[in-house]
Amino acid sequence: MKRFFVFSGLVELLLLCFLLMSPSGVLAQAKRGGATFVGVDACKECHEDRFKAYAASVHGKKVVPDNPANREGCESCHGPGSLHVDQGGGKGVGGMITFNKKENSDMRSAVCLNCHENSTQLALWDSGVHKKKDVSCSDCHSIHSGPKTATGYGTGMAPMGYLPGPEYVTCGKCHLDIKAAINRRSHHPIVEGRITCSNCHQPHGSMGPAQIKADSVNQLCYKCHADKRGPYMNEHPPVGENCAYCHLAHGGVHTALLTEKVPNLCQGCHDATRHPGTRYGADTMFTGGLIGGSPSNKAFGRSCLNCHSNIHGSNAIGSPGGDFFIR
Amino acid sequence: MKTKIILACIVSLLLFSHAYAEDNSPFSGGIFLGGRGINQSQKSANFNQYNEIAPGLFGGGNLVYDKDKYHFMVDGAYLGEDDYYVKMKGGKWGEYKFSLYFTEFPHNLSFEDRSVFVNPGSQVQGLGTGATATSLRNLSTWPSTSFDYKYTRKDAGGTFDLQMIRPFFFNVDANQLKREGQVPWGANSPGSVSNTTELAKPIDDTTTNVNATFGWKSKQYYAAFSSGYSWYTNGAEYISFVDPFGGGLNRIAGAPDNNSYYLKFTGTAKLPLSSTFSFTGSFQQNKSTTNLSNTYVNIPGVTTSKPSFNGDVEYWNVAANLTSNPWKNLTTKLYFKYLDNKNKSDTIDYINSTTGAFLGSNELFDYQRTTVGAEGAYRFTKTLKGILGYEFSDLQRRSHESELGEVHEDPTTAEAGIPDTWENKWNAQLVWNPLDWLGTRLKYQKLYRGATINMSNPVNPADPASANAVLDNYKQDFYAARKTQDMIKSTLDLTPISNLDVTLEYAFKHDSYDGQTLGYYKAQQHEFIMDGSYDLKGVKFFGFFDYDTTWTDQQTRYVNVTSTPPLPNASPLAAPNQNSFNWRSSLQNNNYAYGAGSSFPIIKDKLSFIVQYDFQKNNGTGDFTSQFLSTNPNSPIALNPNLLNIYPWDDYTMQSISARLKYDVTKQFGLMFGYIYRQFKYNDAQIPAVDPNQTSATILGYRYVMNPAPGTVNTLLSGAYTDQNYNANIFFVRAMYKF
Repeated sequence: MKRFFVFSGLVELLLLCFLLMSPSGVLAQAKRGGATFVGVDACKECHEDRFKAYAASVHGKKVVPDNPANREGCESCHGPGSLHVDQGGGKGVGGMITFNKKENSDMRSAVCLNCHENSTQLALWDSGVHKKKDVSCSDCHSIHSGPKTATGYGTGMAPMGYLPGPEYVTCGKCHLDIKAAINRRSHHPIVEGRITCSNCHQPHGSMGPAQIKADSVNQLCYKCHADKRGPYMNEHPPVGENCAYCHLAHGGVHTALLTEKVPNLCQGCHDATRHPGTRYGADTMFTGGLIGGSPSNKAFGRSCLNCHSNIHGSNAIGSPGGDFFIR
Repeated sequence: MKTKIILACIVSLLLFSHAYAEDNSPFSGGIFLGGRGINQSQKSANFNQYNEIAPGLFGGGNLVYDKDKYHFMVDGAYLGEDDYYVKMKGGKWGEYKFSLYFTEFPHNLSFEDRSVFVNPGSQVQGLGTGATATSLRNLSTWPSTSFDYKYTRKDAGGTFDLQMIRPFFFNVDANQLKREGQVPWGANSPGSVSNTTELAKPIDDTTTNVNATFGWKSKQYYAAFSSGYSWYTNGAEYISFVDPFGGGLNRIAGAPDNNSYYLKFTGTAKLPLSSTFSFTGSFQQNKSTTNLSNTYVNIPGVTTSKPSFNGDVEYWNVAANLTSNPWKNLTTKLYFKYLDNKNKSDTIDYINSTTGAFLGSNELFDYQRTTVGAEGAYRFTKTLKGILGYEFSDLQRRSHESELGEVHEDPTTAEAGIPDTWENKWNAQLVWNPLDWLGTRLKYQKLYRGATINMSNPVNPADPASANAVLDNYKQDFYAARKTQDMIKSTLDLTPISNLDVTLEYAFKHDSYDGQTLGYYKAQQHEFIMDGSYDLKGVKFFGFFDYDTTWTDQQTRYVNVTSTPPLPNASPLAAPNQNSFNWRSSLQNNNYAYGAGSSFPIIKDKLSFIVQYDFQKNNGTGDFTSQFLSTNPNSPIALNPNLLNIYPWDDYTMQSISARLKYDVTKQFGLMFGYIYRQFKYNDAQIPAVDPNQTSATILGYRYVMNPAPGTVNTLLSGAYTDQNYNANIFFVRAMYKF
């Protein structure tokens, strides 16, 4: 009954949205106020460094069809500059689009989308979280910093797409908790430059959870961890459902990016006669004998995994055997 | 060999750069060559977890070609080392682009480990002549050769993107990932399941992925058809080993060879009234085949209903969403997702080969997840925006197993222990930027997860034979348990003066597992983060601070099934005795990290300096309370309850200092002198430092041979993960040339 009311409520909300829809303009263009184009030479007089970076970039190449270099140059993105020049310059003076974070995000994105809207990378931009959270293209991409290649110590693969630095540094500017996580003891090799955020996530919009490049978490993980794909004869139910039940994708303090330490993680589900329900305190560790206890191979070392190593699934027959993931 | 490769590449690039060192040359790039020295206190896999930082030469470079419509770039580093990469990309502007890459890096887990087997890491592992668990109590009888737990990942791949067929597009990508090495693996003895041996399990597998997408894109519509195929082959699927505890030859069944393919359609349409409708539908099938007779050496008296197991899992996925901007300041989103995981794998019966009696079967699981949600965002003023969202998610779980060849499936009701769950999630957010230099974000999320709990048939909790059924009535798996979650996140962005950016963030999460008797019942997390940077006319400062504390409380009931009084009672509501009692654990982690650094010019455009310090510390504890304190149910001796608590529980300290001096001799040629200090200290009750005496009389720490009682042995370990600590000083010099 409860589910029926929830569903009907959603249907009503949908109808309300359609009934109340009215035309509107999303893309607020900066008012030009009668400004005209002045040409790149005028921009270069004051902004020589920026101009050089633009000229060296793909945006400055005339061979690329429909490029700013084949149109109004700098003013293709920043808007016509005659009023800016007449008033002596200055940030935002004369109605120039500065791509400052204080400017409307949809307006800043619209400038880029004017040319790049046909890019397949941006097909799901409207569905994405970044657009909803007012993140604009210029918040991550810096046209004037130019492409960089990684020829430094430990920087790994070359950054792509005009990101001012390795990807995780750019993403970490907003995703501070993720930036902290990837630096913890047990982590995917992101800071080492072996994989990047965009190996798993599509920052421009995706229909998967957390904008991942797959329909579900497991389908994403199996791309690199195909040994966990199975299918297995003896299944461990949470494994097939969601890797994130037991693992942290970015990093954590426990071995193998686990959410909790073994055996506590396992005992979050398993309580049965014999050893699953046993209390594994300090008295069962290597030094347990010093306090009147008795070390247990279900507690020390790799704990449950000392025996149940095939924990993601097993094709071994026999019981106990594959059904308990010990073979 | 490594040095020769580096020097050959450097010389080639130098010659190339000299030949094309002209202002209008289409070529540009750079090369670097360096040398490093390392002083390390002890060999540690942790120091090189994903790297191969070693003393000696290193080098790399990049070459860029850009002329007319054609562009090409190749970039590579650490050639000849075990963590090199080479990447190429290029194309013709507006027509096509491609990329190729080759990369290799290690995943080092643990160094200088030991094994009772004479050939660790192979597919057939045997013992030395005359070796038994008794003789192996003496570590000196073990094979003297040590080995490393590590594996290498080699990945090669490429992409091709065809753009000249606009508005159509086509792209294809492929890669092959190869892993080789060995990892720690535990295998217990079939004769006595309490005895176990840690061995080096070989890794030798290859994953190949190919994906292709063809579609059509305009400003208004987008349609893409994708397909992909992936296959996984395991060159070390079966490992045989001689059980040191007298169980004879045994076998471990590893990951099966498997393959997967998918078909997918994704489309978007821009509709009137500033709306976008997006839709995706996909089908994926994962398959595997295993010859069951290969998975064991000898299981007497058991046969299977089928000679092989065919794994077959399908994913059916449909998702749609509609985003709109019906009013100037209002944006809305409605979304729907449906994922159906169908498990069509074989059910295999185990049959007594003598009597024909049914002994059991495998159990297969699948699920359906349906999600619907709505969000609305309204901009009240230029500086104030509010967002409200609601999501409902329903997860139906099924299990099926075979009884005497009949497939028993219960799709309508959840069986005990496999509950269906549903979630209601509400969230509210405020984004307020009242001042030019101040921005704030506040988010609150409430989640309620319900679960159908089907109780087992009424049983007598005092009957030891019914104990597990009774426990199931009080236990909810944490990922499918009834739960209420509150989450708050607040962020403050400050730019009080030009070029000074500071972000403060606080996150709180509280989980309450409603009505939970056994399992997790409460969890909480607080995280506080500060991140800042300041640029004062080219002098840059940056710093961060992160404090994260989490704790999880759980309750468990210990039940020792015995007919010796006092008899156990599996109900957690029953009075405790030495054969059945409740105990609780509270697991806490306090992790904090901070760092600061600066980069500044000493001589403008000539000499600059970068220095950085990072520190991280984690303190973990496990607090235990117990209704009964003896570790031996048959002994009335009680322990001091305070001594049950575990204090070194993944405790570690990491710190590093790096200093780099960069000297630009000319615009093309530069030098860098660097020093890095790194330290890692780890302390954990499960993996303490190795006990040099290896005797039960001293019990100082980790031992390779563990014995539950004098004169016996039940565990043979290999030393996995005992080499965590290190101090390292790294000095390097690097010369860079750009052309």
